[in-house]
Amino acid sequence: MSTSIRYQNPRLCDHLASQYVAGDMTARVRARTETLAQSIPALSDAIGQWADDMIPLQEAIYEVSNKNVDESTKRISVWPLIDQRITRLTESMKTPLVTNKGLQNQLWNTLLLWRMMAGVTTLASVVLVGFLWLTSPSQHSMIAGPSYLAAMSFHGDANQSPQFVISVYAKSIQSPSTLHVQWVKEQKSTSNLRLHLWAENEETGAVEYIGLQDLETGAIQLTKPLWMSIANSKRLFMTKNKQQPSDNNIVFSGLCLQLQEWQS
Amino acid sequence: MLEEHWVAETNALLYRIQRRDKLALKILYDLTATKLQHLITAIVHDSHEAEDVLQDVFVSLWQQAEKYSGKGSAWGWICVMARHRAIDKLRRLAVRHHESTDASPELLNQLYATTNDIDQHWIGQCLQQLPSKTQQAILLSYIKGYSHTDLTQLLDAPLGTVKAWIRRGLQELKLCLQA
Repeated sequence: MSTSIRYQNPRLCDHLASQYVAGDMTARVRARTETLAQSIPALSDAIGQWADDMIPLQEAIYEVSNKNVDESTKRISVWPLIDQRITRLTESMKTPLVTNKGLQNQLWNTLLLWRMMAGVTTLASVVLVGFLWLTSPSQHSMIAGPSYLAAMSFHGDANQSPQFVISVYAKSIQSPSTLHVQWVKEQKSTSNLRLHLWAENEETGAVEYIGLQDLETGAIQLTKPLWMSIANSKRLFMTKNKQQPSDNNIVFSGLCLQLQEWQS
Repeated sequence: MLEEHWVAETNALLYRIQRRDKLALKILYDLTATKLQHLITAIVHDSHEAEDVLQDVFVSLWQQAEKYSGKGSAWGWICVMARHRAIDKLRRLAVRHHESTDASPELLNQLYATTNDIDQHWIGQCLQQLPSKTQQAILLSYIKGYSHTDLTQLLDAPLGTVKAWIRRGLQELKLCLQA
């Protein structure tokens, strides 16, 4: 009997739901149950029903314990601490999206040295390209390789067998910066799977949001801030939701390899 | 006992929190924090630890509100989340305060005797219909957050028996409350 059919059994769902609501599961089994409930409506219904059925008991205990509690031990407001934590979370979730001009400007201003170097490099590049164009006309047809690569494997996979490769190509005269997903030949792609891509900064360790990536489609174009995020990254993560990457939501991860210097 | 408008209000607040309405979270906190703190303290037995758990619960509500599927009431979902966080904290602390098994009949008697609320009276009756060991297992497990393994020692019964008490006890309690 397949897993999905087995969990359609109402008695099994009811039993699992009662254990889930009563807190009789380990954290791992509980997480597994929550995942199952997302795809099995009968289980999700049973959990909701059990949770509601147990409310009267919860309320009764509250009424009884509240009568016995000394006023001095009653709730001390922890709202200011909650507020602080949420504010910090919200700030850390802010991403360098195209619409967030303030953050872009802040990032750009901190990269003054890069800007100067980029100016000099651009000038040198123009001279060099012009020189090559004039002296070796056959060379300009050469296809450029990716600037960055990350071999993505299942997060926590001890064997680290890559499932697919993310390749990032620098902007060229013909095309903008692009990001490609290519599945490893032996691995089968997971159709319709859309995951959130994040880059971990090599120096600060900060994690920056890149965007939602469809693992089936070919390339996505990168804006300059996103290109910079990947250029400065040590590692890429793909998460199942838009929350900060953690062991709970990371599906794939992979070290980012810079190939720029290998291309000559 | 819970009134319909209170349940509707928590549902509406969670809906607003799913849309990142921080004011709604504050209102929900004001509405529910005292009850949740009692629920958590019953499990962790320490008011400071309970405050930490309460913080975690509201931060989790902010982060995971979209996980509420609308099956059952928002308040039921929040209570389950709070109990899970409290149980996790207790397991991390690996501390179990001494709990006499006599505590559950005492609680039961209070529940039965001190309330004028019909629903609570009904709960007391439902609990009292259960066999003594089953009552203790349910109350210690559900209210105090004891694991099955803890209960084997506390109730001096094999693991399989404890599991059967709780499973059957919850089923009977549910049927009684629905009757």
